Amino acid sequence: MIREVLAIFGSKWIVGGLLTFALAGLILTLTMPTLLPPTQFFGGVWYTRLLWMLLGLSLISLGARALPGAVRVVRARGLSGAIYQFLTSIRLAVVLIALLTLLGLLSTLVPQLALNRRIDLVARFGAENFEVLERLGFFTIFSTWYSYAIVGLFVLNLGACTLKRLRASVRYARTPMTPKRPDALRRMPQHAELVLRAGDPASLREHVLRVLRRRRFRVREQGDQILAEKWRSERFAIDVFHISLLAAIAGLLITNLFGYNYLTIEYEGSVFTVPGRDFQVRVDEFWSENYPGTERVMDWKTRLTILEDGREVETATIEVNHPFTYQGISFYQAAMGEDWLGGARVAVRVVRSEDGTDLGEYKATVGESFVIPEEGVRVRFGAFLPDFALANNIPYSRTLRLLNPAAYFEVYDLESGELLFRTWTFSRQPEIQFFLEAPYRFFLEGMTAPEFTGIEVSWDPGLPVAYGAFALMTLMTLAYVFLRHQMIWVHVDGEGRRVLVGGRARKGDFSEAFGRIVQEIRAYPGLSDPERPAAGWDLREEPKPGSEPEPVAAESAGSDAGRGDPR
Amino acid sequence: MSQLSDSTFYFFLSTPAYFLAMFFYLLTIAFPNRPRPRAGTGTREALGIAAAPVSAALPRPRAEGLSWYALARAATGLGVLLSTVGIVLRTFELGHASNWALTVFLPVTTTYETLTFMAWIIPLAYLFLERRYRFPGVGAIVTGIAFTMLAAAASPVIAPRAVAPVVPALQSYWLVIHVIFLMIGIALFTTGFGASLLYLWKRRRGENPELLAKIEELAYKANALGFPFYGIGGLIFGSIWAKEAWGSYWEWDPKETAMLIAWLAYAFYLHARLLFGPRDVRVAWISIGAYLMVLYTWIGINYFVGGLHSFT
Repeated sequence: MIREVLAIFGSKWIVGGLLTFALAGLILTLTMPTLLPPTQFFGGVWYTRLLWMLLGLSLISLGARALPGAVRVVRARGLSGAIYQFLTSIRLAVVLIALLTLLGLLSTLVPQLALNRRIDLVARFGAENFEVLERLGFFTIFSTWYSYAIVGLFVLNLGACTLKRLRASVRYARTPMTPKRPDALRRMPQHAELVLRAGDPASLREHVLRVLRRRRFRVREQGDQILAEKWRSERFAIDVFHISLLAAIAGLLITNLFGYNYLTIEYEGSVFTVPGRDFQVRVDEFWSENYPGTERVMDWKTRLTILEDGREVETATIEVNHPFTYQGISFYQAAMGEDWLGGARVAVRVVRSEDGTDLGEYKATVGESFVIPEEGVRVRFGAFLPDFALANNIPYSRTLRLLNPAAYFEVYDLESGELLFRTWTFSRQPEIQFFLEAPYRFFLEGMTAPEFTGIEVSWDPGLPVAYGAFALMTLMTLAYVFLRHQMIWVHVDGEGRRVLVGGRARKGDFSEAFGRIVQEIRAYPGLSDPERPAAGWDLREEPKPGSEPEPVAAESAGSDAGRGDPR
Repeated sequence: MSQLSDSTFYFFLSTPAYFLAMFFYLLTIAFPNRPRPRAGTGTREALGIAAAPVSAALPRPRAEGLSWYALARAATGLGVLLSTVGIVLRTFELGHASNWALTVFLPVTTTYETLTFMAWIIPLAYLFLERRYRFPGVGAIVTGIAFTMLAAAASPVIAPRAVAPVVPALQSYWLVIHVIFLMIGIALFTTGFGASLLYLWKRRRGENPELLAKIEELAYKANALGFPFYGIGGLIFGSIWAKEAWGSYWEWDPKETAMLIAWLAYAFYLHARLLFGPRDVRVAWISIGAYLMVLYTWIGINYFVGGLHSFT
C-alpha cells in the first residue's frame, strides 16, 4: 500500500509537474508582487499551503524510493565508497546545476540587499511581503544556509569528479604505447599500406624517422615497428582546468573571509585610516571633469597623499578605472557628489504661527541645534532629504539629487528639555505646514552641502590565487583546443617489402593530419601503393566531383570520449 | 550628403539586406529544384583546429543562373559590408564625442551600439562557419536574428541612437577586450542555436542520419568555439575589469550572476553531449536553453532588472 502511494507521489510526472507549478508561481510572485503577493504564495492561503505540502510529500516520496538503492550501494561499497559514488554521479551534477540556475535566477529577479537600499525594497514589495521574503532569505540569497549547501555540494561534486578524471588521466599517461600486429594496424580507422619496390629497408626507416621527427613526434623503434607519439600528457589539460576552477573559487573564498571592501565618504582635507595598516590617507583635493561643452561627467579624480607618522610618503591621483595601491590596499574612485544626507547646511526662517511674527533666520547643519531665546525653545535640525519620498509611511530620499528638498526639525523646551513638537518642511511646498497645528512654521530659505568623494577601499588577499587560476584556465583552454595526443605506428615487415602505417588520435578527426604524414612518408623514392588499393585510404584516386570525400565513420560520435581505451 | 557620413544610415541600409538574405535562404529551402549547395559538405576536422586548408573536394553548385543560395550569401555579405562601414563610422563618432579618452574605441557602449554591433558580428561568425557547413535553414535563422536586432535598434524607445560620450566607468581598454570576446562568443552561440533548432526540426521530419550528424556537428563546433570566448572574455576579463573599476571582482551583480549561469549552462551542454552522445535530443534542447540564458543575461537583465551593470 505504502509502496503504491510512494510510487505515485514520487513519480517523475508528479514531482516534475509540482515543481514546474511552484517555479512558475515563484517567478510570478517575485516579478509581479501585486498580482500574486508573496504573503499569499508562501503559505498565506490554503491552496498555496496545499501546493507546498504536496510538493514536500512528493519530494519525500522520491527520496524514500531512492533509499533502498542507496542502502544497497552503502552495503556494497562501504560508506566512503558510497559517498564517493554519490559525489561523482552525473545525476547529482545535473540537480546541482539546476539548483544553481534557480539560485542565480532568484538573485537576479529579487534585488539583493548588498546592492540595494532596504527602504527601496520595502517600498517595492510592501512591508508584509518584504518580511516574508526576508525570512526566506531571498534578499541575501548567497548568504543563506541553503545557498551555502548547494554551492558547497557543487564544489565537492566538482572536486570528486576532477579527482576521478585525474586518476583516469594518470592511468592513461602511464600506459605505454605498444607495437601492434599488422592485422590490428589494418583494422585501424586511419591506416595506409605501401610497397617498397626499390631502395633498402634501412634507409626507408631513416626516412620515416626523419619525417616523424620533423613533425616533432617522439620516436622509438621496437622490433619491426617504429612507434611515434606526441602530446601524450594533453589529457591533463582538462584536469588542470578543473583544478584551476576550484582554485579560483578558493581565491574568492579567501578574499571573502580575510579581505575587505567598503566605500568611504570623504571631504576635502579629511584624513582616514584603513584596517590592518599603520599609514593614514589624506584627501588633498578632488574634482570632476566634464566633456568639453557639456554637463556630462567625463571623469572623477581625487588626489591622495599617504602619511606615515605624519610624514608625506607618496601622492597619487586616482580616477575611475585607475586605482592606486599601497601596501596591498587599493583605493578606487567610486563616486562623487554633494553630501546632502550627511552634511546639509540650511538657512531657515522661523515664524510664530498664531500671529505670523518673524522670529528670524537661522543657519544650521544636520544634527546641530539652535536656540530661540525669546520663545524659550531649542530647535534641532534632525535630518535633510534632498528627494523626499514616503515608503509605507517611512520618509526616505529617493535619489541623492535636489529634487524635493525637505528638512526635519524637532522643537524642545529650553528649560525642561521636553520635546514640544516635530515637523517636516518642504522647500517646494512650504504651505503644507499650514495644515498642521504647530506653534511655529519653518521656511527653507537656502541649502548647501559639502562635496564628497566616494573612495572604495579594498584588501584582496585572494587576488594572486584567483589571477593565477584565471591564467591557467585560459592556458588550459588553448591547450585543449590546439593539442591532442597522436600515435603513429610504422610497420616494416620482415623482408622489408611492405610498409603498414597506422595512426590514432585521442580526440577529433585524425584523417587529414594522418593523410599528410603518409604523403610525406610516401615521398620516399622507392615507395608506392600496392596493386590492390588498401581499404580505408586511397591516395591515388582524386575524389569524384559531387561525391563525399570520405565515408561517415563512427568517430564523429563523442570525439572526446576520454574513456582511455587500452592501446 | 551628411547622411553618408552618419553611421546610422548604414545600419538602416543593412537592415533590409539581412531581411533579403533571410528571405533568400528560405527560398533556397522552399525550392530545392534550383541548384543549391550540397548540404553539409566540408572537411571534417578536429575541434578548433581551423587552420587546415579547405578540401578541394568541396563541390560547387552546378548553377546555370544565379541560385537562391548564391543570392542569400550575397545579401548576407552585403549586409555585413554595410554594417562594417557603419561600425567604423560609429567608432569615430564615439571617439570624437568622448574626446578620445581611449586610444581604441569599440562602439559597444549603449544598447543601440550593442545591437548594431551584434547584427554585424553574428552574420560574420556564421559566414566563417558556413565555409564548411552549408545549411540554408541555419542561415535563415541567423540572418533573421540579425534583422530582428536591427529592427529593435531602429526603435528610439528601445535603443536611443544618439552618440553619447562614454561614462567614466567604461573608459578602459578592458571595454574593448571584454566586450569583443563576449560578442564573438554570443555570435558563435547564435549559430549553434540556429543549428540546434534545425537539428530538432529535421529530426522530427525524419531526415537521414548522415545529414543530422552534420547539423549536430555544426551546432557543437559553434558552441564549443564560443564557450571559451564567452567564459574567458565574459567571466575572467569581466572580473579583472570589475576589480580595476569597482574594487571587487565579484559582486553577485545580476548581470555577473546571470552570465555565470549562462556559462554553466553551456558547460552543462558540453558535458551532456559527452554523456548522452551527440544524437540525443536532450543535448539539442540544452543548447537552446543555454542560448536563452545568454539572451536573458544580455537583454533581460538590462531591461527588466537593472543594476550597476546596465548601461543604456
